[in-house]
Amino acid sequence: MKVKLETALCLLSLVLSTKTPADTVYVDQRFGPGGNGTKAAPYDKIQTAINDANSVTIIVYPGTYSESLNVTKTLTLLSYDGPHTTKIEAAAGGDTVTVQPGIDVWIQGFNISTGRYGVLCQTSGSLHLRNNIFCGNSSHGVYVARTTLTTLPRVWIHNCLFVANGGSGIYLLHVDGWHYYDHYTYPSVEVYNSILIANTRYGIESSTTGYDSGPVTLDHNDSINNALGAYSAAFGSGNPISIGAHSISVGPDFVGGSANACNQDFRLLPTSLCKDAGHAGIGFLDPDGTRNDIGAFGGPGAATFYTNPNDGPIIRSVTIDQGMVPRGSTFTIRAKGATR
Amino acid sequence: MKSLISFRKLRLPMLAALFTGIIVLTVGAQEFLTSQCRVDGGPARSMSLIASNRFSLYQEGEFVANLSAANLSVGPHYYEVRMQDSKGVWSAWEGQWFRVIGETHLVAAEWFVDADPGYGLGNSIALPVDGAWDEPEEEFVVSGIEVTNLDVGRHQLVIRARDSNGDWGISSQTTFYVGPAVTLAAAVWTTNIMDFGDPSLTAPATNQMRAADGAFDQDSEDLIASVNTLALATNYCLGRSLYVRCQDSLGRWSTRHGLWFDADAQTWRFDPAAGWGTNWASLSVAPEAVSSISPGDWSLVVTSNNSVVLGWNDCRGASGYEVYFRASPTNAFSLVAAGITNSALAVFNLPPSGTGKWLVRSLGDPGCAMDGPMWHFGFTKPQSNDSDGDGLPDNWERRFFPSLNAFNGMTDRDGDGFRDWQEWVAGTSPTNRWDYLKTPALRLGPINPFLGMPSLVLDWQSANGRRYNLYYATKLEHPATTWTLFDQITGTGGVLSSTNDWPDPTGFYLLEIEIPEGE
Repeated sequence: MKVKLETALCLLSLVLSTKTPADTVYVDQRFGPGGNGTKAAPYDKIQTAINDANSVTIIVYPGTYSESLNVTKTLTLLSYDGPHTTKIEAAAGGDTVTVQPGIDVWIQGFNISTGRYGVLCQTSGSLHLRNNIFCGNSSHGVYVARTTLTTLPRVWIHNCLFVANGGSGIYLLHVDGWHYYDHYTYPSVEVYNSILIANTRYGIESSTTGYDSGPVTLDHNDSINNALGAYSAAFGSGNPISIGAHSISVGPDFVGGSANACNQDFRLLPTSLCKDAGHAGIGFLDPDGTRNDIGAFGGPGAATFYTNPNDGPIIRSVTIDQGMVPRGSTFTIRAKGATR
Repeated sequence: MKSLISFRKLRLPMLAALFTGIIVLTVGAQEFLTSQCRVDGGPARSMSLIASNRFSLYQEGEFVANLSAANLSVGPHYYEVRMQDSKGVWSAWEGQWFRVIGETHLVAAEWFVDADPGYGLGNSIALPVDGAWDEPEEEFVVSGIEVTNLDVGRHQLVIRARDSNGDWGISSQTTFYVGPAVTLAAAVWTTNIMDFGDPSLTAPATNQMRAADGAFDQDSEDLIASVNTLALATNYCLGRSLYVRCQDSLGRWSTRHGLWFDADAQTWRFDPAAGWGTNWASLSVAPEAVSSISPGDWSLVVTSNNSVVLGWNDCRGASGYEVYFRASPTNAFSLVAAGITNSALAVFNLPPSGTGKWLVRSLGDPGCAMDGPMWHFGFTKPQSNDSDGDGLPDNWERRFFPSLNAFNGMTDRDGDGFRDWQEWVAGTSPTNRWDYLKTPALRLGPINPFLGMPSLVLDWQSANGRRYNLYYATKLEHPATTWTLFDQITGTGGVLSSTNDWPDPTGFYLLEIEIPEGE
């Protein structure tokens, strides 16, 4: 019996040792092909990282990645330097990012452009979009479709910018119900602190004017200068879906001006009415502790590329070695910053 | 020339385009100059650059700082970092919370009554009893609770403390009662301490005391009781102890503390500060009625055969009397008669002249340890020109009234409190109520050059020809005080003065008036 027990312990040790301790994979196009996804030898394609069986968190360094992504598993896709320098450009005709049903995906800090849809999410699963710029897609920036009555995709869109897309900034597709009282059933969508500007159709559009079920929550958004209107007919006062008491329709005053070109600087001028106009609350604060700025460069997701109005250095991270410091001891503060 | 210049202006961007990578790295990226950190918004201190990397679009720097937590209190703190580039532009401060752990101690405490004003909004307790917020357990004292605006009834006093982590502890509370204003409601007296043995007993109604102002409505009252000494025990002539206690409006009886007897006002007073303890005062009950022959009474005038008849009412309970006499305050009393049981005594062979003092002492019960009260008075020898025998010279009587019958020794015609025989002795007018012998006034006199202290001066209004004997005693031993003759001065009709420049002139003074022979 003693021998058997020792054997069992050895097997357990072997199993644990084969488990990869870190699931973070790195992508940096400057290194070219042949990388293995480590920080020292990153992949040069995002899709390669997605396909890596071990990838859970993918960190993408600056660059323009010309590829249409097909996200097939639960993961977090983070840009290292923010949407200003990290772009995903799809081949014309394809969707820039397609999120397959039934998975949980975070996409944060990218400029997603030139595809048919910037992001396509349908049927089921969870999708968190933060601090992304959806610009110049030939159709909608984000397309969320409910295709069944039994499942629904859940999408959270915080601090994003939808600009100059050929369709609407965000498009919500309903599914007809089986019964009379359940005709217009929508996906679950929450849109906060986002700017929707200069899109060819609406800022946010729904597939019908009716609405019966499906939680659609909007607030603290700035929708302006969209060709057919800020919101389609299902939204707003007197319509079934509220745009939120704090949503506005003002010019955002970008640093790069009002051309709304995809390569311009979409940070806010200090005098912008979108500054400190986002959702209040500790979970939405800007990295400097002030109230959320509407747009792609505000909110807690902007921590690694947040710049203050005087355009000083970016503080990417501030950490302390011990969160609980024994009194009388010495503790270490570490910080990483960047200048452009 | 002009075109050449334009050409050169265009050349630089063209060259830059050829060497884009190099130019961006060396010109586009701003190098870090410094990074700073701070804790809780305190002074900024520099961080060390430990790594630097250049990329095509930016340059990154990593900084580190080692800080001491020795001076940080246990609890949450906030650290922040900012950075500056080569352009001199600072980033905003960005930071996070962290917590210093260790044994917590109390740093503050507060109290409130009834309604919770919210954490940190109560009445602050400045310091614990030991004067320092430095221990996990502290002792507090809450004082100065203002109850004026509190309703009558029960209230909660709540105390809570905050530790060095910034956390408020569980409140502790106690109940107190605010009642209506407490006043005195009753008071009783007794000569038997055993009556107060049981605080719940109420004294007989006959022993009730009343408030001097007529109503028990204050927390402090002057108490008065009129006592018929005949109602006391048979040995009332002896010194007795009188006990008093009082009851407040809540029905609580005091013990006897807090009550004291104001001899000057002849009232009991209650001192709340003294509380509800034990108190008593001795009570000497004099013979309830003095003799009909009062001091200065005409019948006390020594007869022509140098005799006088003294009379007094019998003192119930007294076993006998002793009669003493002294001709001068400087003499001790001499026993004239003793053991007599009646209330009259004829005394013969008195000194031929001058005034004197008589002392009648009642003797207490044999079982008692002390004698009863005393009674003393003066006398004058007979006047040769006193045809009506009232002790007043005829010429003095006629000076003020045509008839000798208008006066006798007992009358007080001007109502100034001095009988007419006293007015004659003092040389004052029996018909002027403002003219009577006044108590000598005291004042500080010249500085004694040897002692460096002021002397004591007594002033009094004199009558012409009267002789004033001023006596001095360091203490009163009633009635047998032995006096020392301090000064003798003959009156001038003006103010007389006598100065005492002794090192310690404090004491008691007795002014005696002698009438010259033949007046």
